[in-house]
Amino acid sequence: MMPAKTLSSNFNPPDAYHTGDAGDARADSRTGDVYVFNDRIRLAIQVALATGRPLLVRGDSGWGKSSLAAASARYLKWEFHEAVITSRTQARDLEWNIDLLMRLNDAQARKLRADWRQYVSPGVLWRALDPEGASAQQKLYNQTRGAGSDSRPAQSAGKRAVVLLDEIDKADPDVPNNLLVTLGSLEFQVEETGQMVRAVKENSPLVFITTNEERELPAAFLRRCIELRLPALPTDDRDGKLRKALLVDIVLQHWLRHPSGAVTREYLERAAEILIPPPASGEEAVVPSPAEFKDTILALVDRYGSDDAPDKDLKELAQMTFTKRRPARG
Amino acid sequence: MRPPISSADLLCAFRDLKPATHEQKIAIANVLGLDWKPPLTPLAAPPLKDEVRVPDTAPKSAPIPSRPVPPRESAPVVHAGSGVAGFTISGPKKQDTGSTLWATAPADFESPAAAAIPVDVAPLFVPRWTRGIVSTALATRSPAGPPDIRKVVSEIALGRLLRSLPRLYVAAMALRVEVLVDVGDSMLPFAEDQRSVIADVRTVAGFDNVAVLKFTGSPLRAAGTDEMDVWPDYVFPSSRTHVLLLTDVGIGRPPLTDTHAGVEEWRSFSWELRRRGIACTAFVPYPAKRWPPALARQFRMVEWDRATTAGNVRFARRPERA
Repeated sequence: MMPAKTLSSNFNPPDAYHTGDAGDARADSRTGDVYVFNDRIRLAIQVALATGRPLLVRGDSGWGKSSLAAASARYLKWEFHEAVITSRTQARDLEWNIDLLMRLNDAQARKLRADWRQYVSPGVLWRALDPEGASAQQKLYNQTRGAGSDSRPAQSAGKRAVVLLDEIDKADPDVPNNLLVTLGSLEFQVEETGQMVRAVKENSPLVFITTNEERELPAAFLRRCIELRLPALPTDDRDGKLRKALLVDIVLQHWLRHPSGAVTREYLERAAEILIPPPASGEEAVVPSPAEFKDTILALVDRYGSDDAPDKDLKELAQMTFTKRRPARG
Repeated sequence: MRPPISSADLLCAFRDLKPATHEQKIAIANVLGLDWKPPLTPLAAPPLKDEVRVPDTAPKSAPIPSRPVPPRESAPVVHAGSGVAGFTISGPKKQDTGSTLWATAPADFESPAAAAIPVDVAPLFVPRWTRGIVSTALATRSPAGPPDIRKVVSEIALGRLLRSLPRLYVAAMALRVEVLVDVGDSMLPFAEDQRSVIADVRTVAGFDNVAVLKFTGSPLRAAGTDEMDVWPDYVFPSSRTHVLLLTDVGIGRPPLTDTHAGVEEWRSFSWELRRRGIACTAFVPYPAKRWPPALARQFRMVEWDRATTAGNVRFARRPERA
């Protein structure tokens, strides 16, 4: 892979990008304080920025799909908006919400506002496409709700945004297709009020969509996304050696700034050897994610400091955390 | 709507990222899922064999004339051997026997062994529509639609306080799916279709959300994943599960067998499902006119056929309430 750093782009974070200090409230709570980039990740984001296409990030849990969006927003110094998709999420929920219950209560109390806009609150895509419009709309909605009820952060007018639509595979199969128009043309219309929400081309957001691949996404949706898989490893890694080495590399990068400062590459390699046993013949190795591995090492450091933990304890820990029985697939 | 990713995106990326090398251009194209190859460098064409091209004696940097000049004739091609310009069209090649190629004996017919190549049987559902058919069939109705105005009005009229907004029921994908696969003799011709539908269900509903159990006759007898001898009694799933039956409900009864389930057995099964509030759909590989009328009222049955569409499934007759 050619170094993406040589391309003409404003997205060139270093390999170990420090997203913030541990005490910094703005630091990404999922990554801690470091996100480990590589050329593939940098290039995918550079191309997504250049083409204005959504970036679909695939891969197993704990390999940094969601935190990639947060780390990118922090590097670009853009706003960050996030929506975790559930089985009940509809495409419209990401665009706007309408408080029908409040409108009904107002009608009963003879306080009904004639303007529907007073019952509309902006969703994540509205905030990302048109921050100023969303900010004004949120203010109007808050006024309707009553003073002091604003729990949402203030919008930074004119600032570009990174949007994370997390775990889209949990949604109903129609949801990705229902988002095609909004994500493609970067505009939508609020049905009840007729308001057009539109992004200025220069301020178009960078959209990250993650999937754990529990459900296949529609072909029409895939054809419009740029895809990135995390981690990208050769498929013949049945014994898990490559994943293990990558795991040690990533967690070491996280540890370089950890206050304990006690963890070395040798320490992590020894822990990985004991915690991740070689697979039984014919089976594929079960390798934990960097998030799981990092939490385990953190627990070890807390308990034993820089001393080596006894092998027996490590093996017990491995059984409790990594080599859990996988559910049978019928 | 914005079109799928195309060479326009590639040009956009090249314009913005300004790749300097072919390697960078190829990497960008790969990220977009496209194939980009560096343009071939034009090579000087070698002279044709046995041909000598008369060199062009015109000076390379001739001054631009002030008035148009008549076109010069191209350099003549001269065959070195014959000394005759131009080319010849050869006739049909002669074989050793003296007969022409088109007079040779026809090739033998393929031997029966070679002809016994497995025929590609078209699947029962049109592959392009299968995803839509399956997702429509497996949808369950939940109160996630627009407000149920009728209910709201009636509650207000009764002076009751609305603590939540009643909503209309809309179809949404079931949280869990249990596929019950009839592996009896009468379903043998459809084994490949069953496998294909199971794969589609897993794709649409998610691998971990789908359980597959096999049965013969009816699931009430036994159902399991392993060998038939060790199938346990069927345990009904939770009410949040959608049961999908891949069966002929005893229509295609093979001769000399008594393993098929009768209408009464299937009615008992459907009654149990409805009593527990479990949604059920059956894909039946026979036309509706052959379905037992008593069963068609019990299940939501879908014709498993090339003509079936998601629209047919949506409007398929729903069972009567228990």
